[in-house]
Amino acid sequence: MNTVLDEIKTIPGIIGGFVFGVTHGIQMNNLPPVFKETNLNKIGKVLDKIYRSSKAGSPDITELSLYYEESTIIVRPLGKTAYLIIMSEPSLNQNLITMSMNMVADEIIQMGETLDSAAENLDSNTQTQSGKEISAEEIINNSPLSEQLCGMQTSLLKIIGPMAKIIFKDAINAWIGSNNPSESSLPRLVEILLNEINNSEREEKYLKMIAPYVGDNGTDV
Amino acid sequence: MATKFNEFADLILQIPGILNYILVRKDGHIIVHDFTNPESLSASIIYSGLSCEAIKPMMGLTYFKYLGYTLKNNEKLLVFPLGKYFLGISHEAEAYTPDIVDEVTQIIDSITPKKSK
Repeated sequence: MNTVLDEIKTIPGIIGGFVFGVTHGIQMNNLPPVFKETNLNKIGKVLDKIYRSSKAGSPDITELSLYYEESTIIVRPLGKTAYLIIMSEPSLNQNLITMSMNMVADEIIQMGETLDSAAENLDSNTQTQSGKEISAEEIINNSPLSEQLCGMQTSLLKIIGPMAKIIFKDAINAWIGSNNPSESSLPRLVEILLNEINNSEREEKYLKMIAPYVGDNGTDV
Repeated sequence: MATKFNEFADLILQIPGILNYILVRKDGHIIVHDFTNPESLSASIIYSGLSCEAIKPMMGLTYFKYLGYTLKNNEKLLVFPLGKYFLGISHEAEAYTPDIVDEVTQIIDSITPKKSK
């Protein structure tokens, strides 16, 4: 599958690229070694959030391009849970990259389907193992923890603004994917949310705001 | 102040190929726009714009110029950082994005003394 990336990299001006799966992380990568995989995983997560938030505002979106002084990043979704991410020099014509991505479109679609089905398998395994098929919405609005969770969500809205609902829902999904949703596992949810905020000053402020909902356990992460 | 924003919007709309515009403050406040449903769009513009800024240190990048969304009908939506604001514009499929970017950048440069890096 790396041949797709290698084909695209033959275009002068392309630095390289990687395939990022939301549940599987980096699937392939032909960027120069200076780009560490741990960093690429973080970048993949941010790009996934940018894509999903963009989709919320413009449902017809097919591709994202981020333009920086030093380089351009093109993000194309592969199915529902993965992305092909290409980096190029800023002077390179984007139509050329898009055309080369279109030329390998079939292989790209196949990659996406493979990653989607792998993600679905992982999801169903996780749900079967923990015996819970409950949605984030239900947990937030109709569970014994509703009061705490609604309070945490409102506090998050004050910290990070309008995307808080989407991020909170994602965090709940990540939390119930690996934990039993209970008061004793709330610190894990807090930990996930702090990772999302990713700013020490705001994290501290958020911890103070949610203290009434999570108690000492929750703020001791 | 509102007049200044409206004058800025008028300048943007004079660029050939521009369909719609929206100017939003980073705290979520919509300043001016001519989109039909600006609410969800403004939230996604702010979140995406701020996330584009957040990636910079992870990749050793310095200056975020703009973000482009390609839509199914090949129209594009571009998001430019503008100090405390983000400017979102959509342009026709036939328009050439680099030309639009040049013209928008010229207007932005004419109203801001320096690029904040």
